[in-house]
Amino acid sequence: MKLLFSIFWKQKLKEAPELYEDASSLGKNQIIDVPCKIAISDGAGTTAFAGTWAKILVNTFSASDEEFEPEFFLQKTWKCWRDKSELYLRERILMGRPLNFWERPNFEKGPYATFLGVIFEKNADNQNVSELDNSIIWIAYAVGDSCLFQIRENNLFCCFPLNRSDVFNSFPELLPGKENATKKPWELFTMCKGDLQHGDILYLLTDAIAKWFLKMYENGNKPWAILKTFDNTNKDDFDRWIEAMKNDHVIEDDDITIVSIEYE
Amino acid sequence: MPYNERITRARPGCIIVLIDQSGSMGGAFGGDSRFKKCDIVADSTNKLLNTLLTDCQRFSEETSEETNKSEIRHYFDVGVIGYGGSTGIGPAFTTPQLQGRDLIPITEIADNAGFEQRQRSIPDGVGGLVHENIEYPFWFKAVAEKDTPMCATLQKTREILNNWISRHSESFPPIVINITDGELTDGSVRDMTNKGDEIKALSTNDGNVLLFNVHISSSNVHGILFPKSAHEIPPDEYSQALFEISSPLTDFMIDKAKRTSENFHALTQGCKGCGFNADFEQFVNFLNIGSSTKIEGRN
Repeated sequence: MKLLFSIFWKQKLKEAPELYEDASSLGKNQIIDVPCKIAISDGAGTTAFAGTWAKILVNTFSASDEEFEPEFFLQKTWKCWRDKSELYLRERILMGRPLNFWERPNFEKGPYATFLGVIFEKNADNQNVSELDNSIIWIAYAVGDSCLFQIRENNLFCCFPLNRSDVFNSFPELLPGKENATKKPWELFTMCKGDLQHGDILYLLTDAIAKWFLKMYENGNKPWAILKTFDNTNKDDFDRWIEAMKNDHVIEDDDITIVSIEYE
Repeated sequence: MPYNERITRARPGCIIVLIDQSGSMGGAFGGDSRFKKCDIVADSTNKLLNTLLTDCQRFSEETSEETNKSEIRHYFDVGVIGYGGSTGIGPAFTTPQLQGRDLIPITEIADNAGFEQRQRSIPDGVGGLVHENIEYPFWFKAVAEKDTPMCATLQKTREILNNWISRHSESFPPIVINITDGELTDGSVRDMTNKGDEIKALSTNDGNVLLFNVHISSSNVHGILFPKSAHEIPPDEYSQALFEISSPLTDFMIDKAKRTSENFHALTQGCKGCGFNADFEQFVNFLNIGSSTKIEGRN
């Protein structure tokens, strides 16, 4: 069973692409066999090295062969961040540039990011076993406002973790890059399961474009029809479309990440 | 919808703090003779500037040869205007590069801090305290002399803002935080109200200038923060006028307040950015909440 993964992304207006602070475990469009995993994350830009932290989250999730367990997952990612941050401090000292007083608070606070990870498995529990049974199970884990939308037969079939445009705000839940003895951020994860049938499409969207998606749907539109018009051949059209929406204040000027997963 | 613009480098914000530097500011803060009002205000305002620096600071994620650079982004122009004191009304910055300047890009604040050694006490993990020396950044020092020319200060502030707004019409509107411990000496309460209204009448395309007023007390009385109705505050003419000229908090500030403390869980739209007889904790909360804005990137 194969899934077609496609990714579109765009950084904030007037920012260089290197300053894009979302992350996806999918580097480029590809076809992948099931079982497989994918994740996206939206780094909180006001925190230190948010983009690096977002990459640690998505790469640790997709590279792991173990069953997903939130606390264990975070312990692994925290170790990764600890190693990177200690290396960064050593390099700054070697360069003769220890942290300034105005850098220290953000560095000590550490990075924060949302997370949305999806595991795809063959449906082993279906009692109607037959050669033609090709359904796939998906299991999604989320913290924050990066969203999953499932389209089936040209209808919005599932939304997770948010299902209304008016619930997006400036203070979503975020995963911290540093362990804190008094807090249990693994309790922030929510989970959702579903099945994927031939013809279904899943979209994984970071908040600005997710909010747009829901608002369009609430107004009686089918936003997936717009997203489907973009492919490998018209990335420039996608860039222009996003820029126009930002300039017209239809969406926030934020990093944009769209991953689509099609089961053909 | 007003007050919706994010602070960005293309559309920076503006924060001006007006500080009463009259003689009475040398009195005890909140009835505690260990602390002078002028010292608390200076420390808290220096800390506010430090917090703004942190909000504007970004580490680079680039891994080129220029790696490990971090920057302060020009998200704000900031000003601290003192009134009273030996110079009357004017910029209160005391560090050399900043003296005499009404508004300064936050990028220059970072490079022009003065430092003094202070001691900080932190828990030692076994029930005691350990004292450590820290370098405390400051940009101006406490002053407490002479009168309270608040009308003239509001007038000058209006001129500064008019100039700034003409160059930043698309930005989130300026925030003015006025800190005082008593009544003005250069006009009537009516005059003060008129000057305050003139400031609030200024606007960018995103809304009117936000004028917030906080009164700090010499006595140990219960303070009131962010009232919604004039009935919640002292009935004297001066307090009522401070309430009238204070702008409502923005939705973002109300959200921030609720996340700061349980004490603010009942805040609603219409609650004003003013405080009366604020104690130390209330005063610090007032500064943090009254200066909070949405900066580009997730907050």
